[in-house]
Amino acid sequence: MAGQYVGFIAGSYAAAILVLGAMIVGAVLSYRGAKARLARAEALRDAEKSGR
Amino acid sequence: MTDQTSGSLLRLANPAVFNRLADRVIGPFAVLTLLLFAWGLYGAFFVAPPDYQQGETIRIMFIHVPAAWMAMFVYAGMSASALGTLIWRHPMADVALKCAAPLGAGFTLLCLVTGSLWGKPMWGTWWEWDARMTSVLVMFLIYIGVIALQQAIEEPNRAARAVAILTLVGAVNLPIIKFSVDWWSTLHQPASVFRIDGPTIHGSMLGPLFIMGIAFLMLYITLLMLAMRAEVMNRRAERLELLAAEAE
Repeated sequence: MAGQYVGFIAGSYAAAILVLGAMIVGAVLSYRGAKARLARAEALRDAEKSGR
Repeated sequence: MTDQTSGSLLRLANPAVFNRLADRVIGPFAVLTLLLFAWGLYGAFFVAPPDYQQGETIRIMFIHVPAAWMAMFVYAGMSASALGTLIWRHPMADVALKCAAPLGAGFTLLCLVTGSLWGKPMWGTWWEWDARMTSVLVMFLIYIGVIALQQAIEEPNRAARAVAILTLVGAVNLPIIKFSVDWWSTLHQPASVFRIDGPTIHGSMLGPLFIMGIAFLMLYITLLMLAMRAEVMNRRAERLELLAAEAE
């Protein structure tokens, strides 16, 4: 009986890996992107301050 | 809500306090999430027996049901954040709403896909326009609408207000989803866990199901904190970029 439905079960878990994986990767990438953007903006502000 | 609880919530609504807390807990929460998934999946495949009617397809339930719970839970949280935006105009409420929407959409999509993959062998159809399935699809479309509206309006305060209003309008769908199986004759089975007379699922299946539910919840909390931390940094960077542009 298990063999009859193995494709549906595997498909469900593959979908879970894909969707949850995309959520995890998306959150990590956006965190890293934001961290880099903030670092750039702060460096620019500091450079302007020291330039004055 | 007690004074102590509301006081703690208000302190957390301060971005600096939130950042400090998030930096401390994201790592441990990620590890705990991983352990819970390992425990839950072990239970789903090696502890829970095949169902007497559904056979091995019951394994799909351990993904489908927690995803459905989270889809509704996230939306309920977004509705609370929408109230926080509209009534108290608190920026962290808008940050929470904005960051929760894509996560909620992901859980809802997973619920729909796994439901369809369970429906084909059990009901003989991938999809049926019954009240439960249709109302969950409507919730998915509302999630997409909320995300699209956030992107469409450039002015942050206007975007926050419009998104909060749309979120609250969409909240009408929550009781419809929950009670659709009672109000209408649906192909989808009625509630079998959260019932007044107790769950109708055997303990050997209920245990792993709850563990998977907690694993999904921990994953959500971890990702939400990570996304909110990123959004707070983005907003600060935006302010600094604006100041730099004005100074030039």
